[in-house]
Amino acid sequence: MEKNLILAGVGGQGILTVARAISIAALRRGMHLKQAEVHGMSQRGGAVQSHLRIADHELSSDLIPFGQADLILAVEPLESLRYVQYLREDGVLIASTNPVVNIDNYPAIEQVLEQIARYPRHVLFDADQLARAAGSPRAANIVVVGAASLSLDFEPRELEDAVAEMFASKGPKVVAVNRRAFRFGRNAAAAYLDGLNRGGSSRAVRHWIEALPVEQLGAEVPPVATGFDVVVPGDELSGPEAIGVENILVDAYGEGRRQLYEHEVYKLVEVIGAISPPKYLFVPRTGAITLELLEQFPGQQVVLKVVSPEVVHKTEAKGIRFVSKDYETVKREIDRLIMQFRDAGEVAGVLVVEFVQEAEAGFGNQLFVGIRATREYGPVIAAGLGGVDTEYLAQKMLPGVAVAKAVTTNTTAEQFFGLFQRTAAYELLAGKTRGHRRVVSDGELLRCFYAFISMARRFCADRGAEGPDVAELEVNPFAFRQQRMVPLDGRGRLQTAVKEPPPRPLEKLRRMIEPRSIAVLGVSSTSMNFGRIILNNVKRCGFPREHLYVIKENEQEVDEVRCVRDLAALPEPVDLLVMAAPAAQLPRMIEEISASGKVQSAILIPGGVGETEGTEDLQARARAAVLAARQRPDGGPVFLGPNCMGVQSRPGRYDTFFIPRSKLDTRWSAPARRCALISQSGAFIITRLSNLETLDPVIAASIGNQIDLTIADFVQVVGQRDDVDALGVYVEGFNDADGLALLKAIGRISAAGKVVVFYKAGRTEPGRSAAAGHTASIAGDYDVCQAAMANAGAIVVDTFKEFEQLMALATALHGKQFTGCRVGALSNAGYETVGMADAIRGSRYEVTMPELSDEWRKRLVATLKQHRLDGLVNPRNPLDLTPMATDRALEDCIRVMLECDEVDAVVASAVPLSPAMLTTAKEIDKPGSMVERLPKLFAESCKPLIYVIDSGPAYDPLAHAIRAAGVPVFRSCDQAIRSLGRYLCHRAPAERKLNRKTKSSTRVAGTLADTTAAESPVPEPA
Amino acid sequence: MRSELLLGDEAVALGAIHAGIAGAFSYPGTPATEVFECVAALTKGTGNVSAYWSANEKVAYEEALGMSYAGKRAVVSMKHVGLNVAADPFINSALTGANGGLVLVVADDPGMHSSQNEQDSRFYGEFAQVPVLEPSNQQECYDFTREAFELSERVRLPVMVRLVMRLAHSRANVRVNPPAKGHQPPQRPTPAPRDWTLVPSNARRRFRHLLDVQEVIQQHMEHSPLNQLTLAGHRGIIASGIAYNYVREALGSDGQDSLLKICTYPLPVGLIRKLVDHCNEIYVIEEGYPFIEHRLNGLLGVPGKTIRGKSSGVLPSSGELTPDLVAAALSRSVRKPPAAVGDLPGRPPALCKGCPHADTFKAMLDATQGYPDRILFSDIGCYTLGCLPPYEAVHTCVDMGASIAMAHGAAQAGAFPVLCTIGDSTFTHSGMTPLIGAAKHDADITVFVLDNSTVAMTGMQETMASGNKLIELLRGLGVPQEHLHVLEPLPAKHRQNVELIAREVNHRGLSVIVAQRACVQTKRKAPVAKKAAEPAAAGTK
Repeated sequence: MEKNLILAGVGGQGILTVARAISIAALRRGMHLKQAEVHGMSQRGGAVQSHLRIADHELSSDLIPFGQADLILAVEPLESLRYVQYLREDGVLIASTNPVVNIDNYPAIEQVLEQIARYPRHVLFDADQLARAAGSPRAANIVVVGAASLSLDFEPRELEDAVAEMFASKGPKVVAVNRRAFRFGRNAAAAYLDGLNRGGSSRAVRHWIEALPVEQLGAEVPPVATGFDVVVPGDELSGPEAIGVENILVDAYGEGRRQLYEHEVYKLVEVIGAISPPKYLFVPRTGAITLELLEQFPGQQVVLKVVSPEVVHKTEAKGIRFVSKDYETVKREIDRLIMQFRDAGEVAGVLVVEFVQEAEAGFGNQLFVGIRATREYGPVIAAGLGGVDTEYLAQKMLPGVAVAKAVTTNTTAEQFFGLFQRTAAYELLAGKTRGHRRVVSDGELLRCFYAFISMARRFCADRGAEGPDVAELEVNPFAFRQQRMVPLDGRGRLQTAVKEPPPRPLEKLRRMIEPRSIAVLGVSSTSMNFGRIILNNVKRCGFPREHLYVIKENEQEVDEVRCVRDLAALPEPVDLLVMAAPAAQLPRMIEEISASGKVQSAILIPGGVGETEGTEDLQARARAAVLAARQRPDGGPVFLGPNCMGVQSRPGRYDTFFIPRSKLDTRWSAPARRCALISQSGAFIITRLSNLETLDPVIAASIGNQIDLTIADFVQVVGQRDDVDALGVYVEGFNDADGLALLKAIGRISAAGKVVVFYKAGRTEPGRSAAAGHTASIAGDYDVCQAAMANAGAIVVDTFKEFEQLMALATALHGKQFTGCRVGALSNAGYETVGMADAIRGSRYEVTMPELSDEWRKRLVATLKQHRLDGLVNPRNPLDLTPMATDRALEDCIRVMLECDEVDAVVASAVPLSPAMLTTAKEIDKPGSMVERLPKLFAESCKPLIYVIDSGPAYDPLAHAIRAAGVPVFRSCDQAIRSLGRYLCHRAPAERKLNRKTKSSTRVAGTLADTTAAESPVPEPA
Repeated sequence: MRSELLLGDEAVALGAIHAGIAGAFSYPGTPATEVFECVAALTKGTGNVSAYWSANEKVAYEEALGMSYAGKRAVVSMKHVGLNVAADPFINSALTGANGGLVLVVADDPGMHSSQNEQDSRFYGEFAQVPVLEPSNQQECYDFTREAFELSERVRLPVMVRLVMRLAHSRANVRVNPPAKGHQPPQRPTPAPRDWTLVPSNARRRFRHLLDVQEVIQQHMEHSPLNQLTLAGHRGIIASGIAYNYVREALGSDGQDSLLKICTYPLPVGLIRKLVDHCNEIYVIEEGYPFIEHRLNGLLGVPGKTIRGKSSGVLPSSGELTPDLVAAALSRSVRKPPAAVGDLPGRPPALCKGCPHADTFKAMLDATQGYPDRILFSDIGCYTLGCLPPYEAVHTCVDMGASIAMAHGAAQAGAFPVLCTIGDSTFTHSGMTPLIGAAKHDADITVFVLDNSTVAMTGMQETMASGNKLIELLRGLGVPQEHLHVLEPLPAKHRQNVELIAREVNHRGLSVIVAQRACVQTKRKAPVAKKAAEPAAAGTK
């Protein structure tokens, strides 16, 4: 047996103690030992190493030859790399992640760690943290000994006892601390290796270990690395970093400030992510800089910046000076700056900052990163091109191109980096564009995002009494030198974050959707008021009469439904109470409803609450009443509305929409199709239902003012239903934290394979007060909502038309197979084939129209021949069938296209004005019309098929008949391609990659196909 | 017989103790410091061994010589350049001879880990014509030291034990064998003034005696079991000291080559002849200068034989040997080492945070800003790190105490301003004599004595004079009262320090400024037990 160890670290880290512990254990075994040390010069903060050899035979050399070390054991990451030449091929490299940065050119720590992680057998952990957890920061070297024990042929006990012996003279307390440190190190190393074996990334496993409770670290058996990948996304800043941040925030808050000064932001980013700010010094208004302190700044120049809560845009306010590093000049300019701003408001002082020589200057070489707390979504992060152009670019460029933004709660740093890689900022910074060199490493960016996201999760949220919350924290810009990030300016703001309201008992919402009993309140016996219309609608929907009640004094029956005097008089508790009484009664009614204990859920119809002037108080009292109800032992009923139309529920056999049948045919007798609409606006729903005629949703719910139940509650409950595949969601505004709840619900629904079509109304520019930073203006609520909903898996649409079309597709096509984005198109009009080909690419989708292979061209020619079209028609995709084509010819060609294995979906169009086809209201019922043919085709094929009829009202009956048979019909061919494109891209991203592979390997594709494949709108990991 | 884990230095110390020394003498200097420290730590309170740091190596050697004359065994230890300082008594003591056993331990520093040069002390042994023993491992450190005392008393000469840094600062198991009772050195009639008084008539006689005794020594070495010859194949390897270990590492169990291990000087000529006769090709592997190789080659080489070593180029002629270098030289290694990680930033040592020297340097630089041609002489100690950025306030570092004398010389050449910095310990080591001269001639120099009241670089040994004692000493050396100042190097006092320095620099005559502030390391640590447990710091001197 022979073991060769290299021990490495920096002077003062206790390398020789590590050697001694192992030596003691080796001597006890009677082993031979050699241990070479370096004394002297190196100990003044220099690199320190020791060669340790133990063997059961006599050893010759005191030094280990290259390539012969079994183990490199380092208390410092960079130092571990200094000796890798000594490491055997199968040797183990163990290093603590804590850098000792006492040199100017220390590389980015993330790069150092990445380099270490490249060694197949390595262990990385935070020895300092483990040592602190064990009871003393000085025990980091013993933590490392514990880790080494895995690779040495000793019983763990032997080494641990050696450690104990070494500290015996210092008392039992010190011995206990070091024994603990030893065990923590051993367990952490074992856990780390276990985590890597289970496929965890080095970083993920480290974070998992850092979050382990002390009992597990100190246990006899090392913790098993399960579920570490789940811990990371929800990871928030903790440990000493969090304490560091807390201290800075509390200090600022304690001074009564809500704005953080620039140097405090520097300090924060330094604390959270080891991002090195330039050298800086805050000179308070009443203080002065000394020559000595000034001389510590590198270079010949320094930058002076005014520090004042009133001055936000320092460049514009001329609050920045570049001056030569001359003591007198600096002093003079500091005084001048203070004088200049004295009248503008409170001046805290002047920040003296090192002049940073950037790697590259000019456009595209600076980065903006910001986090902020939003009311709706909690903490969000944004990153994009930095500098003064930030806002301009964000405004002018397509969403997601200038700025990447995401809600931090459900986004990991890696995911966010993925989004960032799609931005122009990344392409410029990474040197992917002409004339640009890479100025920053991916690892550095990732580390930065990780730091900001973990900070946001912890501090941009309601922390109760824990301390001040961060409203906004941003660095604009980061510059770069030696591929490392250097913040050049930063701002931060404190606030009290919004609290999440108490959750609603969603079981009661499920009962509202499928109630066993319903009572209606506010029915007039004399006129057709809303209450009475609702009562009749419920009746007409077939809700069992014996469980339907009207709450009304002095009446026996209204429209054959029995009346009870009041809630108390109800013979059974009701699952649903529909309240159509005047708004003024709302607070009192809510109290009564909850007090009665007889109601599970209530729909509050009345409008005029909260939205008009003078009714805010009414709404506030209603909310208070709901909150009070929630305090009841039974949790109180759930309330929908007010200011809503309620719910249409086919499974619940009721409809509270107070629209007369003559205005809107709800087609109650038609079977439900597998979709649902959740909308804040009732009018939005009825308009969509009117336009789409045959959508026939399982559930349509109008949410109204969300005094209690929210959009997210409905999406969550309805989205979970087995009879719903597609959800249309329309939102105007979110309750506190409800945007985040909706994101999470959409995430779950999408993961289950369902489709959510999402429209957000209210896109006014975010309020830009003078005090608001860049983050709010480039990542305003609407932008964040768009980006986050898309990230969560929703199809985000911009227009009502798009909403309808995608809802129609999502409903009709859900059960089809999605194998890719290759579209086969055919039409009897030349302009349509051109128009469809022109529409294959849009800002958020891209499909291809592949050329057909010979085999399929032949099949097409054969079909065309049957219909004597072969002389007229060119057999290609898109296929122009000419007006000569009959219904049958169209059907046969559609079939060939559907069967073609080079096509994933088919768009067929026929201008109905063609004399060769049966299309008028009179003709369509005849045998052989498309009304008969299309549903057959649609049902036969597992591929998506959509039909286009681009003509006037005369052909509405044709469109209606085909749609009613379940085939999606569009009234314009380019729109059809656009909507299908978005839907295909949403459904088929995974399959598309597969296609790309086979395409390139099996045949040479057309140029169009090549281009589109290469410029896929769906991101792929770089 | 018991086994202990010892540094090479410590094994020597323990060997000396077990040889029955009555005293240990030294001045701190890496890599020899731990010899004395180990003796001091292990014998503290026993009353058997006297162990005090000496003012310098010359003094240490003379103290040891005196103890030897008085009939007791003594060990004196120093680093290689320390022997330059002690060369005078060392060379002369070969003529006077020793009475009680006298062993000089010298630790060389090939590779210059903490030294100004990598001189090879074996030359000193040959020069003085005293026996030298060179251990190759820690066990031999112990054994050879005991043997050295025996030999010293047998031939009545001082004996040198030569170590190198890698052996001095490496630990291994050592079997030790404490004697049953204390050693009784031969009691000779004392005094022997005719032997000890090197007036020419005596000196001529004693030198004749020294030459005569060489034959005895040579015979002893020829038959010494410390040298080992194994004849096998026709390739021969001569290895000495620690280089022998690297040869063993490279050869492994391969017994094809003939091998001569040399541990004594004068060289065992007979053994070498046997090897050379047997082999065609001889590799000489030795740590330090090509001492054996040159003697073997002479001026003209050995006809018919190929001799390879540092001079022939199979090994580099500077720097430390490594197992890889030796393996490559002996062509036993075709293994390519794993790739190093390129472009790692170095991590050189630097002045500690809060070091008083840093403040002194800053004040010095600020006070002389107007003089781009200023020369800042300096000396050996922690403060030599002031040569690095951001200070670059050390322009010279030659030998202990050189700063003041060199400054004086530069002033005589008309240079202005001339400043010099010297630590309190370096000052009492070799700075006092040049200062007496500078004071007598009122040299136009400004001397800074950096009084941190410890020998910081080598691990916080106590100094001879600091604080008021140092001031009195300076006054006594003739430094004029009005140009003798004390300042406290602190950032807060920067301005007043700069003013003081500027004033004294402009004084055209000798000024001495004592920068008084304790070393931050001594402040930080409680007095460190000088056992091998804690990483004992060491330094250039």
